Amino acid sequence: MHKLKDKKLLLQLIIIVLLLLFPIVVKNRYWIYIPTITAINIIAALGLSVLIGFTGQMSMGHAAFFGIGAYASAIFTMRFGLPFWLVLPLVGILNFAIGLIIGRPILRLKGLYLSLATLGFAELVQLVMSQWKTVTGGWSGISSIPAPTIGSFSFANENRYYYIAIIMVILIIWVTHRIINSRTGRTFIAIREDELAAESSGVNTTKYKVLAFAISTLYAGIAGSLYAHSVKFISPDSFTMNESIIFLSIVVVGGRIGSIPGTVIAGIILSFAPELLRAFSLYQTMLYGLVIIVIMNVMPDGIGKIIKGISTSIFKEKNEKATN
Amino acid sequence: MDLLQQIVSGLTTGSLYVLLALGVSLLYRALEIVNFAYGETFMLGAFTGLILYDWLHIPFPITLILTMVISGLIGVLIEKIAYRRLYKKHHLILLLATVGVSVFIRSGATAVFGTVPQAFPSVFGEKPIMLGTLILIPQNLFILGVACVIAIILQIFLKGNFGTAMRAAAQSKDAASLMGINIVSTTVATWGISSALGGVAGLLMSPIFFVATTVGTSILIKGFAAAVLGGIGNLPGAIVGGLLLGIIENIGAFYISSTWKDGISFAVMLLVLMVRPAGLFGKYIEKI
Repeated sequence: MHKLKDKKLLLQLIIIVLLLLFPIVVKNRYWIYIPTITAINIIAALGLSVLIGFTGQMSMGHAAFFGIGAYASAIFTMRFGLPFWLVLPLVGILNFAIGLIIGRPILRLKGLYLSLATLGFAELVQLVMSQWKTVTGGWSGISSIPAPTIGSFSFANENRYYYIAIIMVILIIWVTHRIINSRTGRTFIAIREDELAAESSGVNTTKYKVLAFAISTLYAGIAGSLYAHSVKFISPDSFTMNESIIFLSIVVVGGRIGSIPGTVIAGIILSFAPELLRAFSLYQTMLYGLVIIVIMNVMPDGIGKIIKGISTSIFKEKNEKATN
Repeated sequence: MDLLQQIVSGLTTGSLYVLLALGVSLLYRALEIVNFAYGETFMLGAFTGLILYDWLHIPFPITLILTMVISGLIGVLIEKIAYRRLYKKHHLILLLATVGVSVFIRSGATAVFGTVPQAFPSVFGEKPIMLGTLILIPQNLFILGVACVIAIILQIFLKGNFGTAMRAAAQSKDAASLMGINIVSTTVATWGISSALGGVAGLLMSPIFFVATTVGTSILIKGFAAAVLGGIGNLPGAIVGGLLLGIIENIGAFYISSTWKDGISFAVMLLVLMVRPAGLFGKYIEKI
């Protein structure tokens, strides 16, 4: 049993070392920028996975919280001159609070009604972004958002920013893993499996659903903040329904029944796919749509289930050998 | 008088929201599905109309019928290719498949037609008629009339055998099947009718607004908002909801600000969902 754990740990260490070496080996700035965006997408999608995959609640409007995080982060650093390292947790707290406030009335709704409510909310937020010109800059958005710095060391360079994104995504994966394997996480899963049964077992389902929602908005906010300081320019166009769809498709392709590795791998595939399809520029988004249709038809259970199958077969075998 | 003018203007857009809301509610009523590609059905209908009427110079009444038929057929085709295998899965799977179809059609249409909005020729004259101080535009009245006729025909049609079969299938697929109702053809017909409604709404909207590949999302939400306002799944409710949304939107844009016009429908939808998710006439069904 020990050896199995060691092997998993070793595998994780190898992946982390490879990720840290990546910018040293790959010199192309573009190919370093994409993993940064991938990491940001994964962070937002993991939050959505806590909500959809593990708690069974829907959201069609996470672009709103992603956008709120990005705008709050840009405004805090540029207007109030706060350092990025303070703003990042601040944005997290702010988004968590917004999630609690919005979640309370919205999560009384279920399924379709919940999707529509979150969708309506996201469109309203986007409208505020484009119309509240004094704060958000309207449709022209906010540009030259400063890069994070430590003393005189600036993270403006893609190579350096990459490390912030990678460290954050590793941290978030670990935190998510801890949440899911805690009492709270098991409560989330109980709600997903059967809300009525959970409630009759004494679970305050409203409280936990709102908590899952707030966690997902917190993640979206962190992702938004990382996004704003990475691309350095934000406008309402970056936070449309399309963005919500990208996060949602990562979660569902990863596996509707929540799976952290599934979400991560789906995040990598669906963030890299548009870049690899860039050769077909005109048909790029079209192919993206096609990929989603095909995956839903061919493997509706998502990548998560396949990973589970592979990992049980590999680790089980090794486990048996180890005990022998 | 201003208020009356706004109400009259609102009725025209409202009548198109009625068609959209009917399409949304019909699909929900029969199959408990929300189609996130519905805005694209609308957009395709508008382009079909543009090609038939403006490019091929086919008379408008025939364009109208052809657009409905073509939109319906496209809907049926998509159902067969993308959705048919997914009914027995979790509803989220089908929902994402409709999202995929939406992305696919929108970007496909953009690749073909470009992003520049295209003008649709006036069909029935834009010279205003004065009725006291009230300004009436013949074209808008015509659109309102056509939308009403379609809504009424649909209501009558649904009172017949098909409507009964559809309701029976919605209640219990197995029981309906045992009673000799063909579930597959009922499902296909529902998709066809819903798509035809969306397409014809797109065609009728074209003379008032531009034809653009990007209208999908905002139109989709208007259709949802109208359906939610009337009670999603409730067909008479969809008629009231659509007209009411059109009027509210127009009055709001007039008295508050036209930049917030789109926001009014989002706000109405959110408010109704918060206060009374069942809408004005519907029942709140937690199933899906």
